[in-house]
Amino acid sequence: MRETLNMSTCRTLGLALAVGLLTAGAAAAGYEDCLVCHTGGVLGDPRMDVDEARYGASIHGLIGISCTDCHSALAGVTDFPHEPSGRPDCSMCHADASEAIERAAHRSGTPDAPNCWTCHGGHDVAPVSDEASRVAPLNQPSTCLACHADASLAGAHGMQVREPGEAFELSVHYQALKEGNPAAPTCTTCHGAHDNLSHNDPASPIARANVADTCGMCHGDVGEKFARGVHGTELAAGDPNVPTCTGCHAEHAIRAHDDPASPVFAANIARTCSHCHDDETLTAQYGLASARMRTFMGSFHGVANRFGQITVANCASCHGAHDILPSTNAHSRIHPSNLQATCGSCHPQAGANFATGKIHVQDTREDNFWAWLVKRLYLTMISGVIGMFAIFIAVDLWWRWRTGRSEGRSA
Amino acid sequence: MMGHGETDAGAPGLSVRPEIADDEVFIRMTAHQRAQHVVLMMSFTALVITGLPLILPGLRAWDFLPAGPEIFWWRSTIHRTAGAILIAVSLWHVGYVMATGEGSRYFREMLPKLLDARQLVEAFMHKLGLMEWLYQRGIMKEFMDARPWWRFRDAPQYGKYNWIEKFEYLAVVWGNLVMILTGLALWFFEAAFALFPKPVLDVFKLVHGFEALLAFLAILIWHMYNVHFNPEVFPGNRMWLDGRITGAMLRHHHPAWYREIEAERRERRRLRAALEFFEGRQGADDDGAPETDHGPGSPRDAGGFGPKRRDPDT
Repeated sequence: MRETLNMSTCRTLGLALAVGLLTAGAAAAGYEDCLVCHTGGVLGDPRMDVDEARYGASIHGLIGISCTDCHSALAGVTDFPHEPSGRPDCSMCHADASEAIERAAHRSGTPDAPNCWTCHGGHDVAPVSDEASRVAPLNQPSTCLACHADASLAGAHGMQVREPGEAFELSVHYQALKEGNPAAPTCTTCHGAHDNLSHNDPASPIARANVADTCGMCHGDVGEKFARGVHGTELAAGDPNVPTCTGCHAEHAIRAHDDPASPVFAANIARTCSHCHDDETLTAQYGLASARMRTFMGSFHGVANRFGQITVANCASCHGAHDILPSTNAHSRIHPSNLQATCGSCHPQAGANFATGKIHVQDTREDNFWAWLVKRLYLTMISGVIGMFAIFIAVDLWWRWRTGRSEGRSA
Repeated sequence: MMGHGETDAGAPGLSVRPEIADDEVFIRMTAHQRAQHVVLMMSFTALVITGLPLILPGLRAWDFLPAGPEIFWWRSTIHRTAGAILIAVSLWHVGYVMATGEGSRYFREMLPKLLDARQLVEAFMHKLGLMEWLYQRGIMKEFMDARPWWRFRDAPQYGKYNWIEKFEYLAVVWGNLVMILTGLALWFFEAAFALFPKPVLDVFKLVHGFEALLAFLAILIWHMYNVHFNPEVFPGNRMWLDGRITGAMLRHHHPAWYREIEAERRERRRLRAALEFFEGRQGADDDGAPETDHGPGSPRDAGGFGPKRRDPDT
C-alpha cells in the first residue's frame, strides 16, 4: 500500500523506540497470536478481521505497536475466546490530543461525536503528513464532511452551514491546497483540530471576535489594517453588527478578489457593502448616510461598474477595503483634506474642485439645490411639452376622424 | 395669405393652364440639407441608444447584454464617436448658415414670427372645432360675426415652413447647443473640473440626461407623428430621402407658399411677354432677369421666389 516512509514517519520512529521500550513487557505477545483468530473470517464477522498488511503499513504498525498496546484490556489474557476488549484508550500515548478533545465540541459523551478513529482511521492510522491520511490537508474536507455534510446531523446539532464542503471546494483556499501549496489552509487550520469549538463559543477560533485573528495567522498585514479600520475597532468594542472578514469574503467559499464570483470582486462589491449600507435600519441605528447603492448607481462610476467596467472606482477604491475610516477621521481616504489625493490616484489631473461637493449626490434640496431645481424644472418642462404634443396629436386625429381626412392629397 | 382660390388657374386672360401642375415636382430639401439630416439622424439615434444605459441603468433589459467590460467600452466609444459626428454636423450647419446663400436664406425662413404663433392657435382651434360648434348653435354668434377670426373656420394658410417645422428646427438648435456643451464637459471632465466645482458638473450631468430624454421623446412622439404616423403621410413621408414635394401637396400643405410661387410665375410671364416685345424690336441680347447658380437641367428650386431662373426655352 505504501512504499516510502516520509520524513515525519522517520521522526516518529524515535518516539516508537520509547513507546517500544515502555511496552516491552506487554508486547511479549506479538500480533501474530491475535491474527490466528482475527483473520480470514474465522470469527464469522469480517468486521473482526484485521488486515495484517494494512496494519503493518500504518504508523502504529511501522513503529511496532502491538495489539494489546491499544487494546490494553486484553493484555495478559490467556482465556480464549476473550471478552470484548472495549474501546481503545488513545490518551495513554496521545494525552495532549485527548485533553484537547475533552474541552472541544467533539468531547466524549456528546451525541454523534466522533471517536479518534472516526477521523484518524483505526488500524490504518497515518500521520497528518502522509498524503493518504484521512487527516492530511487535502483529505480533511471529505473526512469532516462525512458528518458535516449530512443534513440530518447538521439539523440535529444546529450546524448552520449546511454545505460547507461544496462551498469550500469553490474557495481559493481549496484551489491552493490542490495545487500543493503547503501554506494553504484546510478545515482544522481555521476551526482547530482536537480543540475545535462551535462558532458560538467565545473561545473558538471562528467565534466572531476571533475570526480576524484566525485569518490574520496567514493574512497578517490585512489583519493589522482591519484592526485599524472602523469595522475592526467597532468589532473589538463588541459591536454585534459590523462585519468581520467573513462578512464580506464569505466563510467557506472564499474566492480571490479577482474572481468574478467573489463578493468582493470589483463588479460585486457595491452589492456586498450595500447589504448593510443600504439597510435603513442599520444606517439609522449608526447615524450613517443611507442609499449608498442608489447614489453610487447615480454616478458614472456606478453605472459603468454595473455594466462590468471594473476599472472605474468601486466602494473600496475610495473608502479603502480593510482600513475603512469615516470621513471625519483625518487619516481617512475620504477626509476632505485627502480627497484630492484619493481621486488623483485614478484622475492624475484632479484639482481642488474634485474635493468640492458631495460624491454620493442625493439630488435633494439640501445636497445640491441647483441640481434639485434643475431636475424639477426639467420634469415640469418634459411633462408639459410632451403633454402638449399629445393634446395636439389627439386633436389632429379627432379632426381627421370628424372630417374624414386621412389622405393628404384628397383635400 | 392674400387669395383663397385653391385651384387658381392663373391670371385671367393669359392662360387657362394652372401655373403649377399637380404633379410638378419641387425640391423642398436640397441634397445638401438631406445629407445633414441623415448624419444628424444617425448620430442622434446612436447617441440615444448608447446613452440610454446611463439614464436607466436599472432596466431589466440590460441583463441580456453579454457580461464583461467590453460592452461598456463599446457603449462609451460609440457614444463619443457619434457625439463628435453630431458636433461636426452642427458646426457644418453653422458654416452653411453663415457662409452660403442657401443656408442663410434657410435660417431666416426658419426664424419664428408672430404669424407662427397665430397659426398655431388657428391650427389647434380649427381642428378642435369648438368655436364653429358653438357658432352653429348660436352661442357667441354676434361676437364671432363681428370678429370672424374667432370662428377658426379656415385652416391656417401655411407658408414654406410652418410652426411645427420651425419649432422642430429651433428645438434641434437649442437641444444640440445644450447637449454639446454639457456633453463636452462630461467627456473632458478633468478639464471641466478645473473650471467648475462638482455641484456644477452634477447639474451638467442632470441637464445632459434630461435634455436627452426630452429630445428623445420629442422625436419619438412629435417628429415621428408628423413625418411618419400622421394618417396624412403614413406609412411615411419620403421627403427626407428624395427632397421632393408635388404641386398638389404644396397647394394642400403650404398654400401660402403655393400662391407665392404662383404669383411669382405669373409676374415672370408678364415680364417675359414684355421682354419678347422689346426683343422683337431691338434683337435679343439680355433678358434682364437675374440668374441663379442652378443649371438649366436641375429640378425647380422651390426655395427661391422671384424671377431667378431662366426657362430652357427662353
